[in-house]
Amino acid sequence: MKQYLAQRVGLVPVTLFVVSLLTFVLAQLVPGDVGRTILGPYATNAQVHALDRRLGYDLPVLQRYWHWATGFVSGNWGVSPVLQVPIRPLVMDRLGNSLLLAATAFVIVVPISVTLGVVAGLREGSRTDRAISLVGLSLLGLPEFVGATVLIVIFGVMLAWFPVTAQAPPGSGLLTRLHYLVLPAIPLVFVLFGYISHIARSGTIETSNAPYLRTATLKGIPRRAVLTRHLLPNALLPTVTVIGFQVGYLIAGLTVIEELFNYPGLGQLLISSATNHDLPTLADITMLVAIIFLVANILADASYALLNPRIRARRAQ
Amino acid sequence: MLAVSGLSVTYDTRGERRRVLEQVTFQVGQGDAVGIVGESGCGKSTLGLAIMRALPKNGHVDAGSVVVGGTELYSLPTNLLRAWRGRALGMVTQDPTSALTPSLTIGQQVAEVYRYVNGQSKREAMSSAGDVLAAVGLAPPRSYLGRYPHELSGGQRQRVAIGMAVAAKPSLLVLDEPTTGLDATVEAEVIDLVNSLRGEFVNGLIFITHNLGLVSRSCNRLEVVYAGRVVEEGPTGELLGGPAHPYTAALLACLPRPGARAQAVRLPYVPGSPPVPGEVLAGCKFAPRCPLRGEECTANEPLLVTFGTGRNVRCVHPGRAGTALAPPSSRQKGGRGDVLLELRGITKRFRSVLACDAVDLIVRSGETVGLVGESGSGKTTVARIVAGLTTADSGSLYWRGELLAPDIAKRPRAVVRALQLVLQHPDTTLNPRHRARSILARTRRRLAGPRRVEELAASVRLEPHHLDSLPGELSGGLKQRVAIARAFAGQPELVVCDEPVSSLDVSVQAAILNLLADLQSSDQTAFLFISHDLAVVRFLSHRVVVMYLGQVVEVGETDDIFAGPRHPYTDALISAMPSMEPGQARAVLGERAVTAVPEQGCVFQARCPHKLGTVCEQDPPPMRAGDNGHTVRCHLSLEQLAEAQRLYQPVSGRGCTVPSTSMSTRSL
Repeated sequence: MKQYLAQRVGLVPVTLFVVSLLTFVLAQLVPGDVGRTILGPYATNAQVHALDRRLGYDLPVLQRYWHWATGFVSGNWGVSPVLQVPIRPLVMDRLGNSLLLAATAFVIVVPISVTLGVVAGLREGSRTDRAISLVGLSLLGLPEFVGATVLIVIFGVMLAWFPVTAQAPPGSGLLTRLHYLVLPAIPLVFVLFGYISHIARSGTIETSNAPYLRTATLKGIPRRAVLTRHLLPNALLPTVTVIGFQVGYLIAGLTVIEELFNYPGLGQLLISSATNHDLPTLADITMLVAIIFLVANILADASYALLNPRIRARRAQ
Repeated sequence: MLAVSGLSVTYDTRGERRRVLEQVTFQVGQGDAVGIVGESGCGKSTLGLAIMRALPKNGHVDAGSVVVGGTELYSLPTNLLRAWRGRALGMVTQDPTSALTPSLTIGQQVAEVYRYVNGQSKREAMSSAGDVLAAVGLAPPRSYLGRYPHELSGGQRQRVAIGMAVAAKPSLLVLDEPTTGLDATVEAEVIDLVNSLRGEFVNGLIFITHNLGLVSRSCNRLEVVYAGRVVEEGPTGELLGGPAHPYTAALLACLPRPGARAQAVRLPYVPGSPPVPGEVLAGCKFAPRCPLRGEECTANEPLLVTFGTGRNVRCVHPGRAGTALAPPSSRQKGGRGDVLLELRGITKRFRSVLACDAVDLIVRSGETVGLVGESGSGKTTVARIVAGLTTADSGSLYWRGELLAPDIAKRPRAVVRALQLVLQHPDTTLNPRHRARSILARTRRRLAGPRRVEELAASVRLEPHHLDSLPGELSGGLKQRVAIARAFAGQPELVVCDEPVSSLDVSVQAAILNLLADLQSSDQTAFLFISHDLAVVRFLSHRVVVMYLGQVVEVGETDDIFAGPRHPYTDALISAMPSMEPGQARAVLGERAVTAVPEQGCVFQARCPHKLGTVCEQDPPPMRAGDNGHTVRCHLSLEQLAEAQRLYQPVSGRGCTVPSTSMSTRSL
């Protein structure tokens, strides 16, 4: 197990290296010129070239890559040429906001979808099951921006139960901030509910039909013990992995929601840095997102292995 | 103690109600062990589940009752059922791999019974669990309590399952094919264990199996089930000695007998298969397959009538069963030809496991070589190396004296055509989306086979209409015929058969064995026949090769090996063969604890009952040569081995003893 994890963690630098190359190269491909974007359409070409030279954009690509990569690793992320603020504090601040939104969505979606998925699985084919599956599948097919817009109109504008922006006024307490986050979190719950409940349901159905479940039932132990000791730990293994994979998306993939609710999260910054030719910020955020996904996946695998004695043993060998 | 009366069960399948059990009535008395036998699809397992009140959701009891110790099972409210069932009934199912919860330790799973059913505290329950593990032969229990199911061997897992089933000392234990998938030596041990638990842990036993050899040793009464009905019942000895129903007679007749050889005789077998549940048949349900069938059979369904003392039979011709089957027909003996395939010093290592250790093997044309050994002996690795699917680390293969490429992709097309493979599970080797006809046609095209698809099908006794079926629509036996037909598409000279009949019912097995022997006598095909079933190997093979932990420990003509003197391991395998003589005890080896090959000396030293001492631990045993190319890899001479076999007689009761140590002090 330890060896397996060490192997996974050992691969992280390699993956990050590949990601960093891709990120950097792709960032160069963004059309337009950095100096031109900053100075605007009325600057002369000479001014633009001078700015490009000052920012280092006339250097060979490899040299620029090296400069950026070493800076990223050493934590010296530099100053955004567009926003004129240090990049690291800016990104970290946004990451904190994103984490808060992700945590809100997570706390709502996981218990609901796991519980309903298991209930549906235990009553396979019943009306309850069909209702849960239908709702899950419908929500799965609903794009984030549609769900979010409908929610804003109904709960934000018509009923005015929740604020239509996600960002609480500065200096608000945690409760107020959470109140602002409920509405943006719900479209995320919609997106993930169908997925997680479906995996929980199929895991439950599969495990319900496993011979060992019959053995447990025929032993004469109470149904509650059959469920909690024999069914759930095995039925929810795939669900744990899937949830782990979604953590990455929840933290770093929320561009649409953050835009809609005007929430200063990582996703929003990613979009603005891409449209503004803020290449260093764009590259740094992309790397950060890659790291978040990698860590989430490793955690998902590790929790799967921890819960499954067979994997634990096989990987220890 | 258990009274099943008039039990009828139906399954709802896609809106249709199909009757699977029809008016089943029988009793299990104090101390009785009742065997329920029949082919698959006859309702045996449904009967077992109905007795447990554990039918699948779509199963319904339409009529009848199951009374255990005075309580009617189906009238109990669900909330009382659970705990009562734990105390009254125990069940062991077929596959020990999937019958234990993978995420809980053995201790947790066994202790649950004591905690929830017997109401013990957590600590008491764990110590009781240790006790019952010791009782099922897992000692010291402390070392098993904390382990997970996947850390145990198949036999050990089945011991745990049995321990769990008897933990609450139920009055009745139901075993559904408890030894399927286990090695013969392990099977013998499990059966011994079950027999030893009677009295102390359980009062009555129901043994569901298709293996008549097993029930003959453990059951005092038999219920033969066909198409959901009891067709014959009675005391085991009398019933097996003189079956009164043609079906019982047929089941017995298709087992290969000690004297029978595929080269000389054809096994009698019942053609066809049991009716599909729900199929409407007038009169006797066995009539379509019965050699005694007459007009009187299809008029009315025969009733279960008394036949002798304590016996009942459902047949209009009770007692004429013995005359029903034609005597085994004879077959022209084919000769054996030149050396076709030769393996020299084949060695293969999978990480730390030595799967093949310098294996030498010869197959002549027209010859069947039986390759036997327990799981983990390396038989399948040999098959895969011969077929070119696995590459050996060292050693060479020769085809008609010429070096053969280890990789199938590099072999000449003619050799690929001449060397084919048939595997145990046709389900996994036939493309489920292709009809039998296209499966055969594709292979025939690729191998440029001379025979038309229809001829090919006819040669394996497939009906023309089977060709238009998908594999999923065919029964296991028919699927295996398609797989065999495919292997024969290019007129092969050697077919490697890896357990081709192990998953089939005895009647289907007999048909396939006949088929292989027929193909051999008509086409001079050679077989490398891998099986753990020695009765089948004895019937089919000219020569036998015995492997243990990757090493060939004995080679010889089939008759010489069964007559002895033979290797102590071969001896153990032969003694573990299920025998039809009731009550005969079998010699049992200790279950193999180690899978690692010992570093020095004889591979079999850890389990050998005749181990001499340090010589077996330190020196590799020599090859002892006997007559007809018989060789035995043992430190004991052939004379000593013969004497050892004579002394090492099975004794009544459990296990066996090695009678004296005089032999070891005398020898060497």
